[in-house]
Amino acid sequence: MNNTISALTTQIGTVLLGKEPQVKLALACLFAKGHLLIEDLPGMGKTTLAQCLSRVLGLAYQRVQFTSDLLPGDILGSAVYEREKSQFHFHPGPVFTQVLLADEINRSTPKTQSALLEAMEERQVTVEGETRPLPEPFFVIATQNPLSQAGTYPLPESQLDRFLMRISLGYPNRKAERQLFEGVDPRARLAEIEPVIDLPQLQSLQAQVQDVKATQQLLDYLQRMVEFTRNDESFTYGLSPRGAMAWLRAAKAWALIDNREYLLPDDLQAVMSAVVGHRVRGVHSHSVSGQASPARSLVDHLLNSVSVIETR
Amino acid sequence: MKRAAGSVAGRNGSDSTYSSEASGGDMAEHLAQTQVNRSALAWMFVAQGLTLLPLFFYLPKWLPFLWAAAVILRVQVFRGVWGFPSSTVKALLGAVGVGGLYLSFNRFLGIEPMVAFLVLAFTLKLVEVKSRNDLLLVLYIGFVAIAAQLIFNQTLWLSFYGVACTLVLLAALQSLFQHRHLRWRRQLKHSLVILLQAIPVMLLLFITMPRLGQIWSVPLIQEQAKMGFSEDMSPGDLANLARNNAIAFRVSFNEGDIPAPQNRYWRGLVLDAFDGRKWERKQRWYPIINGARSSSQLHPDWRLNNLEPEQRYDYSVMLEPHGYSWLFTLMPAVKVESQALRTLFTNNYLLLATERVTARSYYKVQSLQRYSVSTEQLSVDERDVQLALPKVGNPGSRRLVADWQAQNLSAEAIVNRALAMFGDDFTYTLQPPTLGVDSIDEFLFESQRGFCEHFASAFTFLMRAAGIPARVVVGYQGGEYKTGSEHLVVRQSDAHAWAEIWLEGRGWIRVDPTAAVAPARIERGFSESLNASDSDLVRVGADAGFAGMWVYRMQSRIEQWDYLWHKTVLSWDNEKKSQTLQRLLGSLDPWRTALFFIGSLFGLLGLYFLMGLALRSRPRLALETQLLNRAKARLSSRGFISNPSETPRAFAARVKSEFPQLGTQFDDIVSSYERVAYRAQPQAIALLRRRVAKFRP
Repeated sequence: MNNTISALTTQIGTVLLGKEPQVKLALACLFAKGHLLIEDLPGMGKTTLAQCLSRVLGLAYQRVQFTSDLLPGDILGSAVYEREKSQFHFHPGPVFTQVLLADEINRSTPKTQSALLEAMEERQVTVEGETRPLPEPFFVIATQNPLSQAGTYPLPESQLDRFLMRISLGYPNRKAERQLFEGVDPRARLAEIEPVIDLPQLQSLQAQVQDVKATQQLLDYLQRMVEFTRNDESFTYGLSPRGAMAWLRAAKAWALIDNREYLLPDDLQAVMSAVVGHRVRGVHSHSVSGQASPARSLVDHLLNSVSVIETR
Repeated sequence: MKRAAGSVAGRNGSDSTYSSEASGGDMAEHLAQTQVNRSALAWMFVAQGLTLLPLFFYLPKWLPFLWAAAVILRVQVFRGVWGFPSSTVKALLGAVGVGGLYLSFNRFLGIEPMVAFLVLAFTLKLVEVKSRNDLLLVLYIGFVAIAAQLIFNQTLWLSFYGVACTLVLLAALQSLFQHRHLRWRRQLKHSLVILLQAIPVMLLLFITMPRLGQIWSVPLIQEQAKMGFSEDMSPGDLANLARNNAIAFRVSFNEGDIPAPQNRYWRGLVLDAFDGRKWERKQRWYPIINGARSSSQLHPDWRLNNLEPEQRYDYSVMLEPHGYSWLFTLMPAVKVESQALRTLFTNNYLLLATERVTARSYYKVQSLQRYSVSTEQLSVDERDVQLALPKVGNPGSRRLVADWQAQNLSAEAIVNRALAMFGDDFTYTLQPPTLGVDSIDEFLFESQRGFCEHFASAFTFLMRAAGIPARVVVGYQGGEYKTGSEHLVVRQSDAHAWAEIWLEGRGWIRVDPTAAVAPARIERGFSESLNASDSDLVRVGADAGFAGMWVYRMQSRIEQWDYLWHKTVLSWDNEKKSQTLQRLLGSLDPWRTALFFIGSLFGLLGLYFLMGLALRSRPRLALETQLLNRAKARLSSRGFISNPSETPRAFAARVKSEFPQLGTQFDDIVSSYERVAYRAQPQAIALLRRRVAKFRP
């Protein structure tokens, strides 16, 4: 189990240079059966990450570029009349895949956005009265550009909540970038990547996340933090029970990647920024998804205000 | 251990696990009642050993071996090597023990045989301890044994020791009722809490309960070691005592003056028969006792109704047991009160107890500051006694006196002549040469070196030869005044002998020939009067160098505490009790005392109840957190202060990055902490505890 996960990370590491924390978070997100929102500028390796993940896991991969004229049917698929059989036949859209990269999700209209988000939550699609299940696993990596806001439809809080994590890849460090300059094109490397695990292994990993132990002491810490977001006056609203559950699940997945069958407070802290950042809003920040920095400082405030070990 | 547990359980027809491993439930309770677990047994051995230890010193020497044998037997039974002894074996052991006691004591009545019998029962019961109830019985006997310790010795230190024994007994008692094995320190802590809770109740009982007199002073102990001087005096006797630094008695002065050092002559014994070498008592005690006067009233020779404070010395004496019946007073004691002793005056103004003094005793005396006794004349009988000398022997001395008498000297002049002779040529020393048959002659004309008994003896001889009634008095002279606790400590090394002579018109007067030789002995105390070689022999006080000085100071401090303990606690009598209650409650009505007692008792219980509630309502930090905090506190002394939001692991990493070795140690602590707190492995707490205990950054 340990070998599988470390093989995964090393494989991805050969393509995405110097991005171990983000890769680990993305894997954790996947193991926790959550979806990932990447907030980043173009050209930072979002697509590479998505492709890379799908390849090492041996999963089917689709990519949808969201634009303002994209319609729900373009994603979900539509029924097309077939003359030979004289009946409508459903042509599945790109959503019927295992890893879906939804690029620049905030560029499309709320109607299209919610079509995808519903599919993400329900893991099924209903077209023309017929409900079709999506393949297992179903992992959405959505991206949005934090800077250019013109002509975008920012995701509302309720929709943001559907993403287990929000991360940003950020610039590569000097060494990694130099390797990029010197080495072959990451896309070329992608082609060489072989699947490391198969579907049953992935599903067993996802099942193991649920079995990670959390003691009372640890749950105390989680609960103190959740209560802090609800009681502290710098938060407009606190973390929802679903958000708290998501946090615990993500932390468990993180513990599993660290090859532990029990949770440590370190796990909660490691995933904190990615899980909590987009679920809370500070009193002074007006934008929800726009600027990352106020949410960032809010998460730091939370981290620094709650003691890990109970003191009395 | 497993094998032993199995075999014990098997014997009782059950193959369940051992009771210390049982964690509760009916079965466990049943096992706990019918079996004795390992830790309870171990506790009992320790408690019993500690309790018996002081008793062994006063009882036949074979009892410790019997106890050790019983312990070995019981351990072997526990291990399953031997079975429980049969009734025949037990009866045999009992018979042998009782027979042994009879052989050792030759009687069964009396305090020592009774205590020995208790110890025997305590020891032999061990052999047949099978169930919890048996063990309870043994432990209860243990509490009686602690009380028995105090029969033989009532010092402060033994009282502390008794409290310590109680603590261990309580721990043993508690361990009987636990299904879980506790570490010994924790077990002791639990019993300490119980003991501390009992202390206020103990004080309450101490203050309110009526006293039954000093029962420990009941002089039943027969084999009391004799201390101090004996009933006769030969040359060299007191010099041997001079090396004994033990306390003879202590005196505190109640009101009025404290006698000056040169007047502190504590009379113990009058010797009036001389055989040429040894001074003895002429009369036996019985006639003295029969003809003696009760000491509780004013001495009839002084028809005084009321003594003014300035006419008397008013003092209390706390006498260490010396095994004789004489008591020590200043001349002349006129009134004595004592709770513990029945005392009598003898015709030569000595104070006598009707029984041998075998326990520390306390008596209050009034003595006159100025006196003159038997001034008119002595009875013919008494005159004969006080002039009697052996028919032959010591011819030189007799010739010397005859010389003085030929010069027609008065009695006073003869006394002065004798004293002047001592003052001129004689040496006061602890190491006098041994004397032969004519000891007086050899001393006066050859050696001329002696200790107080030589001078007293020679002087009395000379006086009697000159026709002046004279006698030797043995007792103590001087004493060290302790300013802190305002009392005088008189030691065996202060033992002294002097003379009393009768002069017409002046009565009996005290003459101390030693004062003529070594005035420092009388004025500044014994150790001041010695020359260098003698000091080496006794080594007291400042003469003994730095370490000796420290030991001396420590010893005197301990003696002082012991004195205060005896004065305030052990001599607590009904009178003091009444005074205290009067002060506390305003009056001595029985209902007030009863109400005070019951009210205080329930007040205490209520207080404990509230304390229990308060302690329970305040949740405590988990033990592993306390331990981790302890380790963190030690780290903070090295400048590492953990941030509250820092996880233990992150903190450990930070420490490790600066001090790799320290960090590794702390890392171990953190990993065992994580096992307890985050991996639900409570058994790792022991490891955590050990690691934190060893963690000394």
